[in-house]
Amino acid sequence: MTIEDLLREAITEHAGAQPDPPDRWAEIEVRSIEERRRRRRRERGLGVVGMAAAIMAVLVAVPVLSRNEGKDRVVTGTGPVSTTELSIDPDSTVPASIPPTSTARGTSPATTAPAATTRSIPPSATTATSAPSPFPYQPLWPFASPAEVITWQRAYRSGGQQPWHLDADSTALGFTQGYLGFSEVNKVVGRTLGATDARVSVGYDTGAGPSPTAAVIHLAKYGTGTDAPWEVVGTTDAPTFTLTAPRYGASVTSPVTVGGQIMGVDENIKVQVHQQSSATPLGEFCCLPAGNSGAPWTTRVAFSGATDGVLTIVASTGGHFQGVERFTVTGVKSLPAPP
Amino acid sequence: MMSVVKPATGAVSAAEGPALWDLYRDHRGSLVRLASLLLSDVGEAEDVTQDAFVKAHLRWGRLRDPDKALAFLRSAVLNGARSRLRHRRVVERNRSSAGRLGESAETSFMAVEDHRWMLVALRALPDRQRECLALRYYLGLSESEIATTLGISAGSVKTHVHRGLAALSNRLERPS
Repeated sequence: MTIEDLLREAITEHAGAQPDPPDRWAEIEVRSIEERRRRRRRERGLGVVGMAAAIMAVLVAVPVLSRNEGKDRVVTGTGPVSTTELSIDPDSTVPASIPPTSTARGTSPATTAPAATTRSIPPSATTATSAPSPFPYQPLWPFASPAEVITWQRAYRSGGQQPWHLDADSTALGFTQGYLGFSEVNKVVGRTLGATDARVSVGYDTGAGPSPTAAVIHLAKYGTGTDAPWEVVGTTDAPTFTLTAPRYGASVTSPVTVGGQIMGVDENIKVQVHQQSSATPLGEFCCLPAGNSGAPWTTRVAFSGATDGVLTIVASTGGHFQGVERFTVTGVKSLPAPP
Repeated sequence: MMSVVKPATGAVSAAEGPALWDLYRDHRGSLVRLASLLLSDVGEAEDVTQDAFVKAHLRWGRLRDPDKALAFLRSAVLNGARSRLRHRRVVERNRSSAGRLGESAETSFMAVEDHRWMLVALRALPDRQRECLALRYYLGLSESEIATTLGISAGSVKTHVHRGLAALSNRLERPS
């Protein structure tokens, strides 16, 4: 008798010895109704908080806008974030001119931009006429350095090449699908555009109802001039899924400890380390079971072959409806591996 | 299977209720037994299965495909069992060493009596190996179905099954 037969026999005996469990369907319905009520209460509470935040934003923005009245509002890469907001286009799908991965993954040396201390910090407010300040973010994609930006600007001005760099939606989708490889996340579900700063929500279709948001991509204008291209610099995370370690801009070596918080049920967190000059991830960990309300998650990811100055660490989860349903990224600097 | 009568509470809509109810009627028993294989506690296994159905009930609007719903339920049951095992391990770590030794000796004694040693050995395997073997030899799932349920590749499933069987085989040769 093989070990498989013995195992099958033991399992069959174990299952056969158990009586049918009692019918507790009514309990399922009651618990489900209670949970829905709890969620509705929570959503109402969040709505009140959101409205208060919007009122505060208006109170702050009005004096700022009135101070800037009459000044040139042309994008320079260093100006304050505009409060201009475009309408959401739920039917927006992947544009035909999505940037190809091969052209986006350059081989330029590491950027010399200084590290930001936290994620998604807006650039310091300066006037539109001040001198260009150093890029305050980690340039994740598609440009690895200011030199690459200048090269593209020259090509664009002379031949109109790769105009998608001026489109925040295309850049966000290109980052999601081309760079991270999350092909199922294939549409823009919302956006907030400023002069130098943008947040583009990317999501996917479920076949029914509104499209869920997989991530809110944070972009910033990289370089100077009215044709400064968009650069992905991070994600703006909801409390339901965060990546807080390593901190944004930290210097890391392999293996790196990655962690944050997650809210949800039956999640499987996958972590990957990317760099622009490599077509495949430098390292990957799959998968960390997680869930519950605001539960912390942490894991270690080994990676090799880091040659770029900036690495993108991405944590994704899914599996309920499709492979990737939510993701969050952070930008870090790579240190040479110890001998 | 014990016959059950669907309660007429009306809490689930007429369009959606029957399908989830059918899953509950047809698969509740097998899911509880699957969980009890991993947890060795029928009460906990029932609770884990209930939790899984509550989650499915809440998400039912997006789980209309019965095949996907069953995969979701299996996955939820396994994750629930894994979570409870993690909690149990933490509790056991905090117990006195004397208590752990007593329990271990008793378990070993009971195990040599009959087939239970195989289940004890199965529960001693790493999480993934135990889950792959339970899904394969209890539910009879294929490698690709197990891969879908656990969110891993079919190649990983094959590896986990192979290593799990090898570990059980070693245990059979050297029962302790």
